Amino acid sequence: MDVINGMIGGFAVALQPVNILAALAGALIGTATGVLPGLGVLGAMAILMPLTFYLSPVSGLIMLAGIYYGAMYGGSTTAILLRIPGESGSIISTIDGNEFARKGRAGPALMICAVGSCIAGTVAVTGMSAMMPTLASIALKFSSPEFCALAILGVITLVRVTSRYVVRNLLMVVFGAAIASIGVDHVVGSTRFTFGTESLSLGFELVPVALGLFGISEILRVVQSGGGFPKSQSVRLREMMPSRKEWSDAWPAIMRGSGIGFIMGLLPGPASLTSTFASYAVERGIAGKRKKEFGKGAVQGFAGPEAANNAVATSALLPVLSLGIPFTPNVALLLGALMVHGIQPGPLLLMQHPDIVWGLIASMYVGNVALLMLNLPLVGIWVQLLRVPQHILIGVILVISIIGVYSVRSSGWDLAVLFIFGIVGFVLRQFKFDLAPIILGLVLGPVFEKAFRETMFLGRGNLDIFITRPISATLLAISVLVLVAPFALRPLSRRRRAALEAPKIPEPRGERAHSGGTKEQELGGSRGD
Amino acid sequence: MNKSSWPVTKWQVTTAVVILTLLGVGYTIEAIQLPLGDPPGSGSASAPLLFGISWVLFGIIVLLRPNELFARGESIDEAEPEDDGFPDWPSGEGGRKLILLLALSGLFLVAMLHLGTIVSSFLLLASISWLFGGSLRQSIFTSAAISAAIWFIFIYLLQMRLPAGILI
Repeated sequence: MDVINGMIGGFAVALQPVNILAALAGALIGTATGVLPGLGVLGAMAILMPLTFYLSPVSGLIMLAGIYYGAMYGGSTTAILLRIPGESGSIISTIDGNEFARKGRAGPALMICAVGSCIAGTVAVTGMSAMMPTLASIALKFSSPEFCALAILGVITLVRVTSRYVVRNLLMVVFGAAIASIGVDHVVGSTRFTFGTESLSLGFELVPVALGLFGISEILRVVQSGGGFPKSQSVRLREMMPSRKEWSDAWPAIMRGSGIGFIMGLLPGPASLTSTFASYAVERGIAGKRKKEFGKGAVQGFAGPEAANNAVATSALLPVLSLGIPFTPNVALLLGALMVHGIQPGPLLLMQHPDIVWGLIASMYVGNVALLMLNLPLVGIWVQLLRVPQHILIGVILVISIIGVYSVRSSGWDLAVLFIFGIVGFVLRQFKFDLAPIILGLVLGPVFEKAFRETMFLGRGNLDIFITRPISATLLAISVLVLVAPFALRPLSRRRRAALEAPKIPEPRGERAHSGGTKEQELGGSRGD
Repeated sequence: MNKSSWPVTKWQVTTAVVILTLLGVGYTIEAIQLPLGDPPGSGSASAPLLFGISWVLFGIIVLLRPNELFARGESIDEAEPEDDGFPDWPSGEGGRKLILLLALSGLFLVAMLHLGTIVSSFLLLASISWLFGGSLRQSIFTSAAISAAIWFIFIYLLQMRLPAGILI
């Protein structure tokens, strides 16, 4: 009953003209920005985030969520048409999606993705509506130690699953968290790490840092490389309808992908990426004799993963709204925007701001329909956008970034931070460092610090409190397991691999030592952890 | 590799991580001087100390493990294919353009406060477009149209408080 009442209230908020407009505008400009190669979802959100600060909290959040899933959809468009994934969740679509488009079926591929995104989004929103009150009540059992443990689990899972370079990415997370601690200590109001300067006491705000790392550094990279945009497959509106066979292949994959994405979005870790791989593996696994079509333009090979990716975009908001802990950098940015609006996400959010929570959920229904209605007729425009000359795009992104940063608090310091982090981001990219963990650290750092200090206060300075409370002890145990298990299991997997390769030894070809042995060394040597 | 290319070397990567780690040491030393609070751990120093110690520790581990130090891509936020080496530093034409862009951006920041957002946006857009390959006519017309759109969206529609400069 609570859910139905909540949804009625939510629709009353979401269907206000200003909020419909915010959802539409968010989806539209999110898609437009997501289509631009290189920027990605995080870059698109960072550039457009300041716009949302000029709206009411609920309208701003609706618009930002629209930008988020609009950019996700835009990323898929470039993955299919250009083989350039807009973000990590679209990587798998570049394989079969682009192959399908190369067969002259670019339009149907985009149509399947758009409809699949809409269905997946709606499935995820329905699940989210049903689970929100339950999860919020579970979240009320969480206190400071549990939030600390959850933040640690989220970070460790993210860096463990997404990259081979675990310590490198952990270094970036703590670097981000350390940056966030500079300036005013929000618990006691004193300043720290300022060296007596007024500028540093203003601290490092999320908007200039994120925009510098993802907007300015990307512009610098484009200018340095001097490369133009690749040529896209052409798409005509009247050629967009998939055939009956393509539909019948697509819709079961879309439904399965939606389910996989929804569940994986609720778990700590980079669900946007892992869910697409899981969906691809499932589709390939059940394909039977049609398995050989995968990699050559199988409809299921992009319909399922795209649906999973979009379901994650919605369900990943659930941990943020109910627990206040983001598990991915994209959602971390959303959390940061909520805080800028003066809203503290967490267990009390549903009680204190039901209009925002239910309004946001209801707006996702609106947003999903808006995405479908806007993206199909406008697909020609998105493709044209890729043909805007680079010398114009560079200037536009630069001006919007500067104006966006300046508009937040009219601070010259923020503009300096924008360019400092633009250059820092450019240099770190040259050294192949990931920038996304910095954002995660920047947003999670203050959340972790507040929870940690409260925990220390509760435990009278004793760290035992983390292991004497069952939930935090379990979360920390899982964190240790996630971090250590691959190391512990490595000898076992080596032994198993050796056992599997053992029968090949007596082969009389004389090639064993050359191929098998070298490959084994390569595999062992390339693992960074 | 062409004559003017300037590749990122392993020595540079090592130096960068050493600098990053030393910054962590500085941060930790500064954090030690902050109050730890009563009960211990509830003061300003607690989280920064944790961050600082982890920062230094992770920095040292990265330095000691060649696979972590000389990582070859595989990023979270973007689909960067694993490649064989590090990208080149900007040099030649690319380097000149990069410096030009940063210089123009610096001028824009100064001009924005004196000439106002719209006039300086027009000047920046037109100069970037022209210097980076557009024709003068196309650069002027496009920049004027984009500046008008910026005024409409940011100042008229969103009522942002941006420097008006000479347009007051």
